[in-house]
Amino acid sequence: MNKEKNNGIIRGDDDSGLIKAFQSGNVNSFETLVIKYKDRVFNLCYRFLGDYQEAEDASQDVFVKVYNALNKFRFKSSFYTWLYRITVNTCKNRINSLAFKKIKKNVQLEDNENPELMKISDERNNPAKQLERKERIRLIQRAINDLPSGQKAIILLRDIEGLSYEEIGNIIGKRLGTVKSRLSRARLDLNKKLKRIL
Amino acid sequence: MKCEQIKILLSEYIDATIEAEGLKLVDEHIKKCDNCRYEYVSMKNMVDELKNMESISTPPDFVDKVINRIEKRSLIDKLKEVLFFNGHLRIPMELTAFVATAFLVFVILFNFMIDRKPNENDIVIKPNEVKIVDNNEIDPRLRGKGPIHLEFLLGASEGAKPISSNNLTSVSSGKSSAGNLSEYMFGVEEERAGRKEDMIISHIDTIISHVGGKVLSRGHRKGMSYPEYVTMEIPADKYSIFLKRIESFGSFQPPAPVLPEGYLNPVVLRVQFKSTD
Repeated sequence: MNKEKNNGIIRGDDDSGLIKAFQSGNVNSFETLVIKYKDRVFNLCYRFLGDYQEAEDASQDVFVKVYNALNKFRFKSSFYTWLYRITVNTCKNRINSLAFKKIKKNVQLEDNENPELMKISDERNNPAKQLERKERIRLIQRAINDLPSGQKAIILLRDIEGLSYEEIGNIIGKRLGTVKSRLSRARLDLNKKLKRIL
Repeated sequence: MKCEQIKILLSEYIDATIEAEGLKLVDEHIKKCDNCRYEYVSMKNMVDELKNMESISTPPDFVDKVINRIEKRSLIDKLKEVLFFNGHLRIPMELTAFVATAFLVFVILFNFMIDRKPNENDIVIKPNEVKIVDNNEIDPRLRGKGPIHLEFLLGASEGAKPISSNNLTSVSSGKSSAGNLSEYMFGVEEERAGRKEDMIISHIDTIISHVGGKVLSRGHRKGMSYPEYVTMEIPADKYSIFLKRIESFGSFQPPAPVLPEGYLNPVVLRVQFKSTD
């Protein structure tokens, strides 16, 4: 599937060729895959975990897992669907880990720590408006953090990653009807949280 | 339709994936219902906001870190590849051959050791059969090491000296040297003048037999017709009788050790005879 998404990254192009090259012994083709998908994986991890350092560790874990399993990839699904599945599962496992719960308990997750958001605020012309925008993003992220992992995954995959219901179904292993009903419930719950804090 | 049912349809309504029938229901409902219309607007704004959230840049050294982790992991994986196959431990052929050879050598030597028949000079007492008289007078070093070592004076002449172990052609089991053993002198005065040492020892053999004991081993001195020592096992309840019978050949100097009260295990003694020559 070759489909252009909102951030301009083309998914699926040349993935099969790169994977086959890797499976034939060309390890460098893996690096090409990392460069191609690192931003999407890192962003999904960041939105899922709500912490910059955790997101970096988790997304590294994702690519290490991909490297170790890529020789067994049999093209039954698209590579990026498989990659997203690994990413979601890695993040879910990380959230369930005791170490992550301890971090979440002891450290208030703040977007202020994210240098990227600081950069955005500096780049814009209207600092007051940007401050407001930055605060909204922080509150939205906090509301996302409070969602259960299942709801969080489905919201992120649909509304931030822009995947179709079918693609989400393939990633989380659920039928179309289940995806629709879970997305509806997740959006209602997130909206309820946002109405409370915004 | 109730508001709760309409709210469930809002998600698909926003995504424009709702079926025609549902689309009509939602359209009509939100025109009339302020609450559901507000829910729709806020959810639509939320979805738009999520779609437009800024992308976070990956750390600049991200790719290098991933590759470094993979290379480190690859070393471990290579080791695993050498050692494991299909989840099972794979042992190199050389190691397998070494272990198998070592095992065979061990089995052969072990069998040789346990099958070797003791010669008559060995004290054929298995360690767990050795019973020590638990008497405070016994040298602590003796406890747990072997039989009670007694020296038996053949004849009663003064100045009799123990035969040095160095002069023996065959001596005990090597478990404990005489120097480490408590030495109790059994000074036995001859009952009848002219009785030869071998006759006395023959009597002692008879006494051992009468009390239900048994001779475990003997050691011989070069050029002597009688044994240098005899190791024997005496039932605990016959121990005092045994000593009393032996006293018929003389007296003990110092007195033989007394068994602790209630002691029931067989007593193992090694008696070393001394020459009166």
